Amino acid sequence: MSRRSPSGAQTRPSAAGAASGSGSAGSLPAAPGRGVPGAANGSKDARVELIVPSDTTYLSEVRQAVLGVLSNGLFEQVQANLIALAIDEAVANIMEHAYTSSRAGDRKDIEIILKSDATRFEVLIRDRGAAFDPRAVPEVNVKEHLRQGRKGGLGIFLMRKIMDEINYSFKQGVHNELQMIKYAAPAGGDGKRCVRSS
Amino acid sequence: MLCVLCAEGFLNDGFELKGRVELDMALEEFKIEKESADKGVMIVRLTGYLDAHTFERLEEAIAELFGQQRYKIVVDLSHVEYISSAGAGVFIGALSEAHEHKGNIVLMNPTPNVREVFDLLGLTQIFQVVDDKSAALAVF
Repeated sequence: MSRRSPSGAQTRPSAAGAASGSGSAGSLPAAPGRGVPGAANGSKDARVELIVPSDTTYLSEVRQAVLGVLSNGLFEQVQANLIALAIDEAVANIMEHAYTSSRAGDRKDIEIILKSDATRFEVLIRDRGAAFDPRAVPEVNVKEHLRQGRKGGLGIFLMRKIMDEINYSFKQGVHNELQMIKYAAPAGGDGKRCVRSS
Repeated sequence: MLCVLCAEGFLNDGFELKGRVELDMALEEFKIEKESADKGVMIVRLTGYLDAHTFERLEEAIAELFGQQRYKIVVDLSHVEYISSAGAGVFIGALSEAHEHKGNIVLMNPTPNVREVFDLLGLTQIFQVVDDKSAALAVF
């Protein structure tokens, strides 16, 4: 199941259009018509691609697209909401830090590929901005962080806490690519996998 | 990095964007309402999504209260559908300043989604989280 984002200049489809189908986004409010093709016919296979500008206005649309894919029932709603949060944090981080150039004509897009099957949910997030490896951010001692009134690093803390696997690669002059995976059933222990890059 | 998606042939042309989704700008409204209560407490009632797009408005609203020497604040979260670390960060940043002025930031009636995030971040260890207005006012 897949759907390439259409050229929006003419058709101006919504994120729901990109996600297509119907389904409920559970306790986060969902626009009507959200969901994935797989959810409608009982299959858990789903794939949605989004290209959004680097603008936080679009974060709610990204979350809705994630919840649309996760309406396949692979995860309970609470978990689905948390996965949407992890992706929100990753995309918001790119929006805040990746694109620092203000040169006219620079493309400041973020490509988001959401994929789910019967065993796992996976997201690939690509941008052309400055390299940023979330693995380089030290583990946050949240208790100490909060006590000191510090805010930075909490998004990455949440990403690590929620997702099972986080991979990052940077291809000079091409793109950053962040991959995050959540498994439907832990393979052992807490389900966390190694983090790698190339 | 092995990319399963590339292997399927969708992105084997690298990062060549072939289309753009012009998203509907159906941004859920984020509202901030303020109400004076007993004991010099201000109740800040929030509605909607508190994320990286909206948090600055809340930051400004709290800074405005601090500018008026109002450091006793109850944040009503009963109509906040969603919060991210950016939103939570506003409370974290404001708490120490409130404490310095013998005030407090009390979080009232968070929705289950919001409470889940608070639990993950451990916010309940440093904030007083209460169920209703009378419990909130009793803190001060």
